[in-house]
Amino acid sequence: MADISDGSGVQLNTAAANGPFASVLKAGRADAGSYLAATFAVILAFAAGLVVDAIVHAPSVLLVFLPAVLYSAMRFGFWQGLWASFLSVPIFCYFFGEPRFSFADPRHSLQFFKVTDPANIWALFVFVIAAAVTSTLANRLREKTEVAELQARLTRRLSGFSSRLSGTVTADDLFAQLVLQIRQIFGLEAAVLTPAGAGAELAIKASCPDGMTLKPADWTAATWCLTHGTWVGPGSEVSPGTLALLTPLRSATQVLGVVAVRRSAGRGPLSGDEIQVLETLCTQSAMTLERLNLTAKMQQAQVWSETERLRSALLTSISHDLKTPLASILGTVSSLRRFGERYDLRTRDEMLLTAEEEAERLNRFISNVLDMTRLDAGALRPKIEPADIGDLVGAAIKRTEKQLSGREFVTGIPDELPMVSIDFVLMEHVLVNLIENAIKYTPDGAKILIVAHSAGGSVILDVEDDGRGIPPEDLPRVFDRFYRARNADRQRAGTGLGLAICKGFVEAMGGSIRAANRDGGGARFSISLPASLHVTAT
Amino acid sequence: MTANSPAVLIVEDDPAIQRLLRNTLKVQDYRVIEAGTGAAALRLVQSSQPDLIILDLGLPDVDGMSVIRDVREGSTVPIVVLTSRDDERSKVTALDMGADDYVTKPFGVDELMARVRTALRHRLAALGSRPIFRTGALEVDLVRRLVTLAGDEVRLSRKEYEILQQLVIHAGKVLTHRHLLREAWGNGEDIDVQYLRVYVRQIRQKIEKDPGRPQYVLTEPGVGYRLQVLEED
Repeated sequence: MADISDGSGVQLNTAAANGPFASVLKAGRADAGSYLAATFAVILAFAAGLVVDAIVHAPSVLLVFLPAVLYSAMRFGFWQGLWASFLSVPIFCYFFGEPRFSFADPRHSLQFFKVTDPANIWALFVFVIAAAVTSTLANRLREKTEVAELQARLTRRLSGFSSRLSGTVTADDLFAQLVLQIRQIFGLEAAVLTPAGAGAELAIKASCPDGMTLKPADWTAATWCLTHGTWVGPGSEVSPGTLALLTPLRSATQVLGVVAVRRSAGRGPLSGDEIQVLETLCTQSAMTLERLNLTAKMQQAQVWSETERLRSALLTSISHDLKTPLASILGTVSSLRRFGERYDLRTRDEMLLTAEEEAERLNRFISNVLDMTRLDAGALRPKIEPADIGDLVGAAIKRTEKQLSGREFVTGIPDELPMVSIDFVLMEHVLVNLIENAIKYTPDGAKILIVAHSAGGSVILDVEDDGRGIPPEDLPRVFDRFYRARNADRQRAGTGLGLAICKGFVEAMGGSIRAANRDGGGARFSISLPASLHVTAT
Repeated sequence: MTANSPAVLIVEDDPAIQRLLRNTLKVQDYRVIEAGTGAAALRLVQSSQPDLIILDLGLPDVDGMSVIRDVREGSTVPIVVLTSRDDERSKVTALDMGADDYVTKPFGVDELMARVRTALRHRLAALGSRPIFRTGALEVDLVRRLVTLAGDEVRLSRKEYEILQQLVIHAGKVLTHRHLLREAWGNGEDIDVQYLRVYVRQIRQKIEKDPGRPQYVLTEPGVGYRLQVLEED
């Protein structure tokens, strides 16, 4: 019978089929050393006998040899016990039976030696029986112990497998563990086959050893196993080809794949117990596979849900923030067309100015949405080059000075500031966004400060204002998309995209941005940018 | 509008923008010629000899760049292109192919007319252009290579002067980094743009009242620099 082994050579299906005598006669150890040890035990017993003899009457001394016999049978086996018995009795006869130191028996002329005295023969017989019984019991115990150990090892293996499974995160990982485990427990080659894609075409996903190949008959069997969901082995409808066994990997609802175990030349078919162990492994694997699938689906669902949330927020924002300025423009222009000549010149000019400003606002909003889309699509290709912060700030101020409306810029850019490695155009967008933000959240007449200083290998650029500042509870969320600060007064709220875009752009260039409130009141946005090697003009 | 009024060829297919350009130009006494396709544009350049072309780069059926190239083969007529925001690469390519300036959509009429007037001024000025350039407090004498600010001489290094001279010769028009590098260093390919930036910073420090908010030498992000002309004709 084939065995489940770790190389210890013990059969799981034990000697019940072999009969009791078989186990008795089964060789324990057969080497000379064991016989020598048995002999030594007898000698020890003899020595003890000498002691006992001084205290007790001669025939009882025979009993002193019993432990030696029992020990030999128990420790080494029946034959050693037998040897000890056949050694003990003559020694007793010679050394302890009257007359001492001789084998001759004066009492009976028919017996040549004391040894053939029926009393001694009877003792010998008893010793032999004792040896037989002891060795049998010892064998049985040994076997049971070995079986128990094997079972324990198997259980540890299975439980180790189980906990390894709970730690797997990919299906490939799982399959590799499974075939390895099969190989380790059974010593057989194994492979996991799963359908590659939507059709039922099977492919080998993992095998131990790597690169295992299957014959056409094997593939047929595997496909059959997959479609019917039952195992294929000797005696089933479909021949298993060169394989010992094919088991489906099934979850509660479907067959996920096939485990194929290859026959080995040196072994017979797998036993019932072994098949059961294999089934256990496969069931555990199938459940883990199901778990992995569900986890993946759950994560996907979470991503979709978040994407949906953002998309919905974007749609709401676009819808509102596009329509509002458009409403102003459309309303103003159509009103001028209809009632144009009734308005006085100044009113007409005001209205046209409103339309112009609203159109600019719409332009800014659309730009923001486009920027956000580019960020999301990963379509940002920053062109990083050394740039001059002063140049950058000047350009951003030029773009936004029309919107100042009574506020003023205060700049503090030192001349010796090193160049920074940035994408000029993107960084200008960032600065413009920050300035427009400052304008939005400060009253007329506020100051907007733009200062920079170098710190280690970086340049820190701060855009600050002396307005209301950011509510402290909102500080961590200020760069989130669609975050808008609560506006206590009736100021036009922004789109909520500007700061998110700033963060996205700055980080795409390898920089970082932080928001904080100034000590004297107002907000401060600090951007840290990598300095580039200083270029001196010649 | 007389026969001598400048003629502007508009290459645009969107009716609303066509109307806007046509009306704006006509009301300022320009003559307007219109083309809706690149082929028509080329024909009209030949036949009508316009003084300026306004070309929309975003036309779906027309490759704006090839129109510029084809026009430049036979003519030096100034070309102002209309580009979309964020497309710095197109702006630079158009300028390198021979366009004179660009206006970003959506644009206000002020910006458009500033570019148009600048382009026409350069065209209409004699080739041996005025030797003394003045704008605001800045005065550059191209013959004596002398720069003064409110009457006081400004000492510029050789490279700084070369760069400023280019900006002055093309006053009001945008010049790409490559153009400036080529003119000042002789070979635009090998020098890093960052050197140019350093020189511009130095120039600004010498001629601008507030180098952090320049009035004369303006940055066109991603494209190049432009000398702003402070008074209008």
